[in-house]
Amino acid sequence: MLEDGRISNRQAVFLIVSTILPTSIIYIPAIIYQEAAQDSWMSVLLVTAYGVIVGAIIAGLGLRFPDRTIVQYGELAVGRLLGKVVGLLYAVYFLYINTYIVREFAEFTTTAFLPETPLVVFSVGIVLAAAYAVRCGLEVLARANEIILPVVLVLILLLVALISPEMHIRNFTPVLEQGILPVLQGSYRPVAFLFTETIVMVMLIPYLSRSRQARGTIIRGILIVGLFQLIIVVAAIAVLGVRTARLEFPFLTIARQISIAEVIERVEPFVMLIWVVGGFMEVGVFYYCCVLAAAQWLNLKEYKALVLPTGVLLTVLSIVLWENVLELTRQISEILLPIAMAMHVGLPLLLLTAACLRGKGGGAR
Amino acid sequence: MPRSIFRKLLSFRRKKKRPFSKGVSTDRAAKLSRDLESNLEMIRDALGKSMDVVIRELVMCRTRVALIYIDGIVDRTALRENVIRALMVDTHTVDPLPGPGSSLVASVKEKVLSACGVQESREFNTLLDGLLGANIIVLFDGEETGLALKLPGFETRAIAEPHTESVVRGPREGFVESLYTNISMLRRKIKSPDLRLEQVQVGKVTKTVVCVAYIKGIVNPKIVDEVKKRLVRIDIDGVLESGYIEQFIEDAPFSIFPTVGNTEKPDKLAAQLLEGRVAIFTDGTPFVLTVPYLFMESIQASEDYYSRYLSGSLFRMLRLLALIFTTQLPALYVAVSAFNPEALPTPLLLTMASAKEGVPLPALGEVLVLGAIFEVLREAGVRLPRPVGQAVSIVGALVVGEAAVAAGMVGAPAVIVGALTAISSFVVPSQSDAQLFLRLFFTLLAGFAGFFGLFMGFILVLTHLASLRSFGVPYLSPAAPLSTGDLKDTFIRAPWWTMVRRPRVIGWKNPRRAGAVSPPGTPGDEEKELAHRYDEEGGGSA
Repeated sequence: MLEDGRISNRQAVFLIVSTILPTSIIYIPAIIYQEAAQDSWMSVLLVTAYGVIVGAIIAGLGLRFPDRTIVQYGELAVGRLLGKVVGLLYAVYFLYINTYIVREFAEFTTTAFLPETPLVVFSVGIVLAAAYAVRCGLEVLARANEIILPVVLVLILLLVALISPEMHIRNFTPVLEQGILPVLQGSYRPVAFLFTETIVMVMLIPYLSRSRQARGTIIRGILIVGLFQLIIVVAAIAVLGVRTARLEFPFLTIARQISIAEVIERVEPFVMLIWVVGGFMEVGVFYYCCVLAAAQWLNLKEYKALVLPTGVLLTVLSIVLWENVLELTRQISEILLPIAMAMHVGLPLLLLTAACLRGKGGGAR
Repeated sequence: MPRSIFRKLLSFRRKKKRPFSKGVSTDRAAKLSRDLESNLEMIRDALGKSMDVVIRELVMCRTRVALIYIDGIVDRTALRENVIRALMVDTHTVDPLPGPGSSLVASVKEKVLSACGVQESREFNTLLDGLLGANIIVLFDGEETGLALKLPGFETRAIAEPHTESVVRGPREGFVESLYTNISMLRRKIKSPDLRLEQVQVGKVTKTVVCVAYIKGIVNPKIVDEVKKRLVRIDIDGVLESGYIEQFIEDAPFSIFPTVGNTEKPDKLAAQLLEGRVAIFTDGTPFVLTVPYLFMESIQASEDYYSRYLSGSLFRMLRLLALIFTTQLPALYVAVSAFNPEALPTPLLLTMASAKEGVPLPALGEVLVLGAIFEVLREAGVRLPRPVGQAVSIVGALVVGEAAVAAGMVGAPAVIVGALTAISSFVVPSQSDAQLFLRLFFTLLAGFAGFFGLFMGFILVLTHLASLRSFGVPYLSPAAPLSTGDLKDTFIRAPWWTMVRRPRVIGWKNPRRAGAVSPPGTPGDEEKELAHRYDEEGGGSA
């Protein structure tokens, strides 16, 4: 085995939450609000439901082959050649989506906190830290996350609690002013692919201590993400109202508005803490999946040799792929979104159908 | 050129093991001969002309007998009364011409010598080792067997309160340098037949006795085996302190965090063993090693368990806070003042700005200089004789605290930060080495990249901590991997009557340690009756 560590199902839930939450709390409120306005919270519910369904598909696929990753069972499901193609697709895809995450991380950090520092500092910093964690293995990643995630969640709740005096219920009315359509639209955009990032589980299910319960694990992870996303979006609507749509980072603005007795003020460092440690976990998980997938695809005995090359590739790509943040945002919705839909939902669904029809795998039974 | 250096390094690693001591001239398997003179000659050969080796010859029942011992490490009174006197006077029970089936040596051993431990041996080296380990060797003319009498008697320090782990409430005795005294202190605490003490000898020249202690049935036997395996692997000439052992058996020799714990207190050690840990006693030092050692142990103190649970929990959290303070405070100060001054409330910001006015150094410089000065003062205070130490601290307080600020060398806020950091650093002594490195690491990162650097450092340190294991147990457990049952005794110390189980991560066998689950205040019938009577009598004397 390339990875002989095992993670508990609770650690897997934590990993899923860490994989999805950090980027989504920073970027999602504005994106949803542009479409669904005061009904954004309904969109979050819809997206969560969608995430649960996709999670169930991914789990269903993984459970047919509970001790293999997608790179390994791809061959079983659709034959040797096609299976190799599927494996390669995922290895490349994990790298590709990670370049977006790294770039987003760097862009946000520089825009929001350290405008005079060049982007590359943040890209290199986060990738180096993630490389160290990935080298240490899945168990270490999961254990570090067990400390990081509770801190992140508590901080989010704390920030929301501190801003609660500024909340206004009237921002939620009128409910469904334009009918249900904007709600649906709000839940379509990049939101949809973020909530299906449970795709990382196709690489991790075999390393669960109780892999048969993977379905519950994935769904629990998604529900926690949905809950916190709901809290953030509700807070954003309640505090900022229509301003949410025009702001780039509503969550940051919320944090900036906190002022308790003129002592607890300007708590951006906390947002930065959430962002940096959360972003680290997010990059780390995708990084790990990419390296593991590549090593399995190449039939290597050790994945450690791939960590550094992948890291270099990741850093460089995250810098050269996009000229500026506008291009990045445009490509997220125009290029990444369709690809992500295909990789997160389409391909697993195809594989699942193929495996069912060919009667391959039957771990679930 | 670099290639040859590389090759040299490689050849250094490949160098063959050489035997350690060439000084011992006798070969390993030498046996005693029947001739007393030649036996004595062998001993003289082996020991040279050491002034403390005494060979006392006497005659017992017309047989020449020689006593060999090392003066100063054997009990002289017992030697005089129970050995020499016995051999010279109380020999009427000995058959001078033993028949077949019995020997002179055996009958002397059985009927004459009143020492506790007597060992018969024909091997020269066994006797020699015994001689050096405070035994008295008795050799008989015409016999191939010698006796080794265990009669150690040397000066040791009296049991006293240890300096490192002093307590307000709790036993005050601490371990001493003598292994056997230490073991006896542990035995007095745990009177269970399951307490096992296994001896290992480490050190080719010093032949130090090392003792592995554990409670059978509670300990994880795999950990015991691993400890023994690592101890046997140690190949060194001398072991003078348990620190030697620690550095040979620890899991992460390149880490700044210790993965082997130590204690000077028998009560703490007993508690560790009862949780399923393994202890390693080393002769000659009061510091006993304990494994596995977890990060959380550094914020636990024995007093948490002796005081009531509310205050115990509170102080534990205070310790955690102090640990965060001492590692983060200078870094936070640097990050705030150099990168994000707006993170402070405005009045405080203004105060700080005015205090820093005219200070030539940037925040990073201030903090580093103050930190360095403090470390120097602390080191001076530890090494110097006590009266001088006081002078050092006065000078330190005056120079650093008053004069430096008054002269405008450093700002007052930096001094406050430095002082807080310094005080907090004494709260968690078992991580003191790591604290220093962490503080420096975080401060430098914060100086280069502000909060971003600080948080990156936080991630790196956390990942490193998560990657550590101590004898198979993850270093951060029970927090990561999360073990909810064990959290009762991690950040808080739950009441004793709720801690029914031993920590799962260490002693996985036989997890139940207590029976009662109900709080002790729940009145049973008897108590109710008592309370009733008390009320009827009008509240006692009042």
